Amino acid sequence: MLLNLKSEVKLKYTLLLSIIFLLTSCGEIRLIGAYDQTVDQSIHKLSRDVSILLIELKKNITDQKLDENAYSNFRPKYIDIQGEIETLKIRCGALEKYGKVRQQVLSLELNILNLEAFHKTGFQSIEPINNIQKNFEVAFTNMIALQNGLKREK
Amino acid sequence: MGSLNSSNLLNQMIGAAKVVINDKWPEVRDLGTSSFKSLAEGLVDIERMKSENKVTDEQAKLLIDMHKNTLRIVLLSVEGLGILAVEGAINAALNVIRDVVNTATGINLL
Repeated sequence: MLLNLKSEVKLKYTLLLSIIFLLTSCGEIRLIGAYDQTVDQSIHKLSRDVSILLIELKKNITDQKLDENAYSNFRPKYIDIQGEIETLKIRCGALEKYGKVRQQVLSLELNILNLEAFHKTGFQSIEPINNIQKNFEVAFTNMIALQNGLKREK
Repeated sequence: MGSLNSSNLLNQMIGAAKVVINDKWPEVRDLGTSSFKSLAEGLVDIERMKSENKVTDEQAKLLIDMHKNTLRIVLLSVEGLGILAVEGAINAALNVIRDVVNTATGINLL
C-alpha cells in the first residue's frame, strides 16, 4: 500500500517535471502568429491608397469639379486596391496562426466593396466622405495596432 | 430628432469587447474606447445625414455596413491584443520556472 503511494507520487512528480521541461525547453509560447513585415507594409500601403482616394474625392468637391468624381475615373484605383487586398489575403492564409489578421483583411475588403458601391451612387457632398474617412481611420488604426503588437517588443 | 445616442452605443460596444477579452480589457482600453467612440459618433452622424436627406436609404445602409465591418476589425484587434497579453503572461511565468529550475539544479538544464 505504502509502496504504491510512493510510486504514484514519484510518477506525478516525474510527470510534472516533464511538463515543465517540455514547456520551458521549447522557447517562448506563441498563441498568435509572428510579425510579418510584408503583411504590415501591405496594410500601410492600403491605408495610404484609401486615404489618397478619399482626399481626391473631397478635393474635387471643394474645387467644384464634381464631374471628376465619376466612378469611371476611379475604377482603376479600386482595381489596384482590390488586387492588393487579394495578395494580402493569400499571404495571411499562408501564415501560421494568422486567422485574426486574415479576418480583419476580409472585413476591410467588404468595406472597400461598400465604398465602391457608394461611389457608384455618386459623391456630391463632403459629409458622407468625412464619415467614411473616419471609419477607415479606425479600421486601419486597429489593424496597425495589432501588427505593432505582433512585433512583441518589450 | 435623432434616436441614436452615442454614449449608449459606446457603452454597448465596450460591453461586447469586455465579453470577448474578459480581464484583459484594461490593456486595450485606450485603443478600444477611442475606436468605439469614433464608430458610435459615426453611426449618429449617419442617422443625422439620413434625416436631413443628405444620403439616400441605400447610401445610409452602405455606411452602416461599413461601420459594422470596422467594428469587427476593432473587436479582432482587441481580441488579438488580449491574446498577446495572455501569451506575455504565460511566457513570463515560464521564464520564472526556468530560472527556478536552473538555480535549483545548479546548471542550465532548461
